[in-house]
Amino acid sequence: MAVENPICECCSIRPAKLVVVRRRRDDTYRTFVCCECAEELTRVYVKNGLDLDGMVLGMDRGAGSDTAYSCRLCGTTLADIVVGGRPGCCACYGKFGGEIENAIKVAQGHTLHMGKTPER
Amino acid sequence: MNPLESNIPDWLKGDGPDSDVVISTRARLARSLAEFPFPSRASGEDLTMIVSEVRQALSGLAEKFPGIELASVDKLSDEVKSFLLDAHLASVEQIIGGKGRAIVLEPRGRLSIMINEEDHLRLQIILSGLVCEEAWEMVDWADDVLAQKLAYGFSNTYGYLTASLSNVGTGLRVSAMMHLAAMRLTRKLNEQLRAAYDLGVSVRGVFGEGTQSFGDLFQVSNEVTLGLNEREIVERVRSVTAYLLAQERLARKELLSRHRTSILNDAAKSLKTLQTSMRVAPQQAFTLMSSLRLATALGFVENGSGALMNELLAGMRASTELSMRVGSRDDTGAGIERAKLLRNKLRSLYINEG
Ligand SMILES: [Zn+2]
Ligand SMILES: [Zn+2]
Repeated sequence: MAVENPICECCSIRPAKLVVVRRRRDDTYRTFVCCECAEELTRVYVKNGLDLDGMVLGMDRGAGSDTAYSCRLCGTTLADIVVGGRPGCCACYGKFGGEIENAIKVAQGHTLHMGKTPER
Repeated sequence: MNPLESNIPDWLKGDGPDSDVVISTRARLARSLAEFPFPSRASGEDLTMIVSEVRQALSGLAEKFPGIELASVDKLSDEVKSFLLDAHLASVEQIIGGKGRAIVLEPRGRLSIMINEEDHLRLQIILSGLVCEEAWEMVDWADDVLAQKLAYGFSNTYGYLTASLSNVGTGLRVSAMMHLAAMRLTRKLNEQLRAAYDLGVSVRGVFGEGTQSFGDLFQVSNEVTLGLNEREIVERVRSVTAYLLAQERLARKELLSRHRTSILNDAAKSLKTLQTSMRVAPQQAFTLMSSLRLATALGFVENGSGALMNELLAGMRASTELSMRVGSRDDTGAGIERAKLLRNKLRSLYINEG
């Protein structure tokens, strides 16, 4: 299942190459933009003092169709996770280590579990 | 399935500590089973197997939750479904999700487990009043019992693995539902909610967006599930809720001493409208019930119990939400039914000027 890059949400002309992730309170906003608009958007955010978490993640255009970049158990691709913020199964967390860690950092501001462990 | 032994779950009864302001406390854990894809990616066969694995793990829970039972959502009647929504025992997504979803309930409605909602398991404890520690301890116990039989998805770095990155870690969401009517009337709400945000919790309208909450019902809950342990999460939510509780009490005192007549007047108008209307829209019901619940808490309403006020204010949320979510569905029929219910339930109430 190939994931096509969406059209830029700012200019609606060029294909989106980047997703700008902005975290506010408990919501995470993702804006899909082309490189030109990303630059402009970042400038606007920074100028207005908005708490852009500094996250501009590149979307791998080939990731959607490349099996090397999809989870063996559930078929989720890197693009799915970067774009949607949703892994498809527990194995995804291992498969996409670095990218998942970045995405968790964006969503929560932390990456380290401090709580209980399952008692078996 | 006959969901509960009484027609009302324990949490709506209004007998918990501080339940004049804090209607309920909820502790929810998101858990996954390591070897299955998350529900949105799972096949029908997977979903069936997940339900049967959970079913086999349930027996240990009967020790503290006698009468616990599992039901497939697609076998429930519409009546039971809307009851589960009203009682906050299942989400709209779970109810309309279709085949392969199940729910576990106990007769008092304290513990419920949604199977194959966003995550494989969502364990929830919901209790009356401000009781964050108790709610956590109960859900923690149920979690330990299930963990002996189920292979949870867990990583030493990230903790419990969930379908959404915003729940990974402890998977714990602790929340308190508060009725902050006096803070709104005394115009202290926005300032205090901002103060609460700064303390690392989220406060949002139970129904509606942000501070535009219908019925003055707000939910305080932890923002993150990583970087803190469960006790710290519980304490954070408890302390902010306790702070807002104190503020609401102050605001109620101020209303009593300085705006007594206008509170009485509002309550009398609200009650009369509710007792005589042939049709009530959702937003209107929330507004009128909020005014009446406040007046009841202040001792101005005869024959009105806390349980009744909770049921009619907080317990009507879900079916209203459903009718709004389904969108195109006309609210006319529901509005007539709602008015009938309100007229019946509030028939014997009257305002006592004290
Ligand atoms: Zn553009
Ligand atoms: Zn996967």
